[in-house]
Amino acid sequence: MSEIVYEIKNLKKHYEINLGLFKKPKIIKAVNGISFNVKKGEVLSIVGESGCGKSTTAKLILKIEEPTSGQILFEGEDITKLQHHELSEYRKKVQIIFQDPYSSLNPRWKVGSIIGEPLKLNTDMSDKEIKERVLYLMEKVGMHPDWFERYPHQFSGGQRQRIGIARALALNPEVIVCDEPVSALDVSIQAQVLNLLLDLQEEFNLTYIFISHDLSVVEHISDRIVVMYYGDIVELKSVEDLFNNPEADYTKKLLSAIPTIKE
Amino acid sequence: MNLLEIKNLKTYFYSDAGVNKAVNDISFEIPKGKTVCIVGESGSGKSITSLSIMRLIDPPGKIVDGEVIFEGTDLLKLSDKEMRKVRGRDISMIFQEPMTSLNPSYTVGYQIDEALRLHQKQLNKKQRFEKVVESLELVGIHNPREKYREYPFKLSGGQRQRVMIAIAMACEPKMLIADEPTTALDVTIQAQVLDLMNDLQKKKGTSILFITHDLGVVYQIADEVVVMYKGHIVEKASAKELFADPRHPYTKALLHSIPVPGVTPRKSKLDTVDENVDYLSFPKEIR
Repeated sequence: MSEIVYEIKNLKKHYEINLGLFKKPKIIKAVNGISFNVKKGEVLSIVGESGCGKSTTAKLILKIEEPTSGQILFEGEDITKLQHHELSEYRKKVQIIFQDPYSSLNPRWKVGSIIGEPLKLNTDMSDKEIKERVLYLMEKVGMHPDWFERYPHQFSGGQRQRIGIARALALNPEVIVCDEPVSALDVSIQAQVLNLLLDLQEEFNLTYIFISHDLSVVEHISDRIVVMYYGDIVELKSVEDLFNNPEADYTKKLLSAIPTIKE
Repeated sequence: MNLLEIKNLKTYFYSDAGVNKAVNDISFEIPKGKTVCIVGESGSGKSITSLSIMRLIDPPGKIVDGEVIFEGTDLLKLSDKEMRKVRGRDISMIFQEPMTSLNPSYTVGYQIDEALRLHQKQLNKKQRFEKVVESLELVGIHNPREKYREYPFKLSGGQRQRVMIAIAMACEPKMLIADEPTTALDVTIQAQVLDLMNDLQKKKGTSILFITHDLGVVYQIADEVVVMYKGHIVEKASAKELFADPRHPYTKALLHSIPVPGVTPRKSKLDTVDENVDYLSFPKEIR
């Protein structure tokens, strides 16, 4: 059996909304007691519609949000208790690729600085070493070395997403959380980015936590799928199982929403 | 019978850098009661085509040449005043972003009523109210009488898009232009909205021009498909023919770039549209 990277136990995130001085606060149960494992080297997808808690789960894993209760064990260590130095060590191992390549890159920075920033912050590499590493990463994601001095606005959506991927790879992470990495892209570009993600996974032995609402994409890329609905996991299975014999009503509904030809 | 015929339409954008031929000599027809889909990537000219039909092109853009014949009249030759009567009454449009295309400071009912106030002046207030309620019912909104008085912020994305469709359908137009109406919606809601549009078409016989980059959506809703690439039509065929037997290299590349569950081998390399290939050099496939 392959090694387990993440063990998530009974994870909860509740948000309180104050309705007024004399009213009871309303509680939104964004993630309501979910448990699952992530194995090393797999692509685990989380699917569901907006508001189902998939992005909140990602934020909890990345420790951008603190859970209300529950545990997230990363290689056996509970990350909800990490502080200072340990936390920054953890953050080097887990990176994210964002959905929107237009708003997740600083428009005033050159490509080289964007990709090199994680290295500058987290390592003692010299400027020269950083430049070498950035050029290597750019080659890996299929970008021309001459583009080092360019600004994000000079690129198309697909190219920008490559910049985001190179930045995520900079620190040699073990896990990459991909938050809808292709949903803002044109279909033709989607395929290029998916191909790239699969290639990189093989080359660097990465584990992906892939968040998406597009079932065709998820079917193509994943090993296992978590289906979420209103903060709960309704089904967790291998791709084959989920597509061949979905059990939960919600999963069936999702699968039937995959378009079929007009009669 | 064709409701709309577009002949040799050219829409150019002028800037200091030169002329951008956004729509470069395209011709196609929209039959009565059928759905025609325009597919293409961003920048292919699909949205500019729909805006040209509605004559909503602002400078530096200009419709340079061509004809847009709607029931025998060339829309491009109408005066501004006459064109305003066509918009909303004969041809309506739904936009991509249901979150931003409704006015947040007016009630839902008021905004649907607006179309009726402008185009159906023979109706009195009470008749209009009933008509608004009826159109909300038609698009599947529960408690239409209560929803009439709601503001857009209280509605979900799917409900807002239904309201947009209700506004567009209020005057029972002969043609509906839908520019990526489901792109911002969740898959399950998308399926509902597409079903709704198919239903409305059956009930009212409306022709639909549907613009999208999502081939899955095309598969579900189209009778005829027009594939656009860099301002040109590269392939035109019925939806069945196109999906069964795509002929133009660009269409093939586009179709093969999306994984199909159960058909595309899992984790295999997907075909991509090659940026270095000039797909315009291949002959056009117009069926």
